[in-house]
Amino acid sequence: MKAKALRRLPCLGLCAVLAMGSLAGCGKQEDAGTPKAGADEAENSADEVQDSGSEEQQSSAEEEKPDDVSMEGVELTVWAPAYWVGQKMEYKDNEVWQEVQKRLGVKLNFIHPAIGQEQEQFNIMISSGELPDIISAGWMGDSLYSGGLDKFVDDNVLIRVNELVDQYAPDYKSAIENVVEKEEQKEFYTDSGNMVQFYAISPYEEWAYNGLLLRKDWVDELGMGEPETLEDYENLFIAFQEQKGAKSPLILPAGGIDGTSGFILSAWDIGPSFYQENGVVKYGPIQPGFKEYLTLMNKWYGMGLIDKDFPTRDDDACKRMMTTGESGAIIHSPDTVGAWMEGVSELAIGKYPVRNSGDRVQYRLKTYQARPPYAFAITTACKNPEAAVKFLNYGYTQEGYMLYNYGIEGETYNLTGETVTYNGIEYPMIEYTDRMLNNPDYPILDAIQVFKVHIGPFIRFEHEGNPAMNMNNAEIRQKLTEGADTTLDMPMVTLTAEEGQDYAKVMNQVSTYQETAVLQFIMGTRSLDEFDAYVEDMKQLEIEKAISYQQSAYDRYQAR
Amino acid sequence: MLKKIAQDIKKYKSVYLMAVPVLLFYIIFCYVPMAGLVMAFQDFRPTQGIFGSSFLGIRHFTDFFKDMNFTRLMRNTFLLNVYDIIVGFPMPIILALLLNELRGKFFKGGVQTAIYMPNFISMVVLCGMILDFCATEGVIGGIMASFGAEPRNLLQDPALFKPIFVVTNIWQYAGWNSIIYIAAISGINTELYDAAYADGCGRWKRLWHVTLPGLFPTIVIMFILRIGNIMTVGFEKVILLYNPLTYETADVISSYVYRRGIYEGNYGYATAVGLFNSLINFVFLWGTNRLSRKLTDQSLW
Repeated sequence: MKAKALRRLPCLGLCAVLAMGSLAGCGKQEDAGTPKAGADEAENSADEVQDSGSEEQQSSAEEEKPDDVSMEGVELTVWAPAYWVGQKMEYKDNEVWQEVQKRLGVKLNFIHPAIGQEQEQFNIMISSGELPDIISAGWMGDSLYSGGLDKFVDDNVLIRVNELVDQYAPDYKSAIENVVEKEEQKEFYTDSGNMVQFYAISPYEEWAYNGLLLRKDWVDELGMGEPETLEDYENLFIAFQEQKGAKSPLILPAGGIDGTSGFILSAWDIGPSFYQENGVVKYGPIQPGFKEYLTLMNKWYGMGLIDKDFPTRDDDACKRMMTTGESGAIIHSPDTVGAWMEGVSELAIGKYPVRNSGDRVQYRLKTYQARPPYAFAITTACKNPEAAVKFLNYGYTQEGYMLYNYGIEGETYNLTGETVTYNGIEYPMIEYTDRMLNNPDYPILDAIQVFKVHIGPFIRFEHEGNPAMNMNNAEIRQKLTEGADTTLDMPMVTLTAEEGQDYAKVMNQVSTYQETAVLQFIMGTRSLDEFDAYVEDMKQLEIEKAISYQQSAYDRYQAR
Repeated sequence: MLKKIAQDIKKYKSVYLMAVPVLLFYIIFCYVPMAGLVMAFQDFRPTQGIFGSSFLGIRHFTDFFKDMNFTRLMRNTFLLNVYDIIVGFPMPIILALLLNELRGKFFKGGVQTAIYMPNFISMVVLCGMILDFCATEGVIGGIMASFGAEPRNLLQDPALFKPIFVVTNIWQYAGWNSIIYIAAISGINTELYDAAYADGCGRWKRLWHVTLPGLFPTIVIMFILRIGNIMTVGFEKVILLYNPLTYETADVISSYVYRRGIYEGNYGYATAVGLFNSLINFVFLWGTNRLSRKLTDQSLW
């Protein structure tokens, strides 16, 4: 009985939530009457800059201006997806977020949605109308806002901050103008010219974080050299199978396609999803090259080179297979797999496979200097947007980005006195202390969550600032980035609200159908002779309409 | 009339007072949300609310009927329930009858605790176990291998999804669902058993002529209620167990509503599909109730 009643709950719950219009206790901003005693010189605005010379820093130093907002007694509620690898750690436990509050004199109240349910809880929060002051997009990035940021501005959820940034966030503004390459600056604005989010800014293109990873000890022992062509890979996997006893040498991503980097299929000059060729948007899985890809995967699957159960593997299973020698190759993140393989083997990077030796792949995972994950936006519920903007500006001041990236000087890091220059701007180099690197209470992946901020509203030095990136992984990620070009990549385009709704409808049907078909083709339950029929079906499902939406979004992006 | 009610309330104050929370529960969680059904006919935008969203008419419904997955969703939802009723419905009854025949108190208690247990295991954990059991190198694969069969991943075979779903449902719920039957059995007058014993009935005959007839009204009511859910499958288990290879036989209305509604934020459409689903359920409930009243004099209302 009870079980049956429970089963009916989800639909009911949905209605209940929407009808009653209130659920989560999203706190509202309070005007705490008592100013903080002492008000320890809340160094809010830009500060004395040590290494002068760069225009960015000078402009910020001049901003001690009359229309400065006071942060005294300001409370801001921040909705932010938290993630952790080891121990559970919330933002309020994080030393940097504590320090930011102390230095600015602002009080931040964090709300964390349940892990894995960020999108659902976000949707419910929006429907309920109980908005926090600030929303962080989490790993979902811009896709959290389905229909695009402009729609959320039009619907009175988020506010446009162009003017506020001009006035109260000079450091963010100058970081965009000076740190970011000219052609990437438009990523900070929407199609209608709104500036909505505070993106993390990378001083350079961060290295790709996904790739084909091989067991280095096996590759070295086999002495077959570095694989380059598809044939090389095939022979290598056969050697894994025959000489190393790997039951299933390669673990394919669960969908049968590497949706992140397009590994293997990029050999046929297509992308795993939408990509553009000379300004014309195309959809990879309906191209003739995709049939070639499926044919090869089907062959490998038949030869037992691909894990039989790949559609149902989760990370735990992959980890077990990689560490026990059941498999020797996987398409995944070098950081994650590198951590798995500690004590087993180092990783070797697989080059982007090509058809003919000497070819170069034209599609790969590209990260932009504007980093949408964990971007921060201000909502219409925020009573003091000036203060919110000023708080968010802090990560782009010198003091702020040192704090976010490395923690507190003297405790988690010390300056080495050296500097590194990107795009004409000098940045100080640091050395982490043992508290960060060898903390008995916090293994390194936990230390990242407590002593620094991994990604958020600041200038982010991933390569120098991520203490978890060991040399082996850094080398791999660098090679993954340099190993292919990005001529086929799509820029960060946005669909309009109307397009977005129809697009979602089309893509829902398309991907449901495509996912099944791709797995069937690879596993041989559907003959590849039917590929043309599959393309026909995809067209019936109006894939071309989705392509045209992407095309117009692409055109709008180019016209920004 | 009103006066009579007022008198009644005065007389049985405490009873009415006890009913208040239950009534409130139904009003707040069952009746008030019904207003939200309006979304089924709207181009619902969360940011504009029910009053600000524009009216669409029945477009969500026609969209759903024209959806390429429509027949597949209907078929899967219906069949999963039919299998579950055929195989799963008798199980708690059989269990209750068996438990009733047990005499050893400790043994009986132990068995009962053991069979209730799966009901309390979190769905995610339970489905994780099922996934492991069904993997190529899982327990079942191992047993298959020892009989010389080629082990394979059972959850990648569309033909096996429904059997796995139904059988594991029994594992999960049969014990728990047997409670109501055990309660009903214990309510049967023991004099009937004594009389039957005096008339020379053995165990089997007593079960057949005393226990089952005594249990019959409960079974009928439970059956009607179950039929009322003929188009309902909880989405959690389906979503945790299916993969693109088994969409064909595993995708049901609720998992589809989950993908379209919650994940994509298309609430209007999801509500429309949910409403349609409830309507079918209601028709079945009403039909079975009528049929049952005609045939057995047992009915819900």
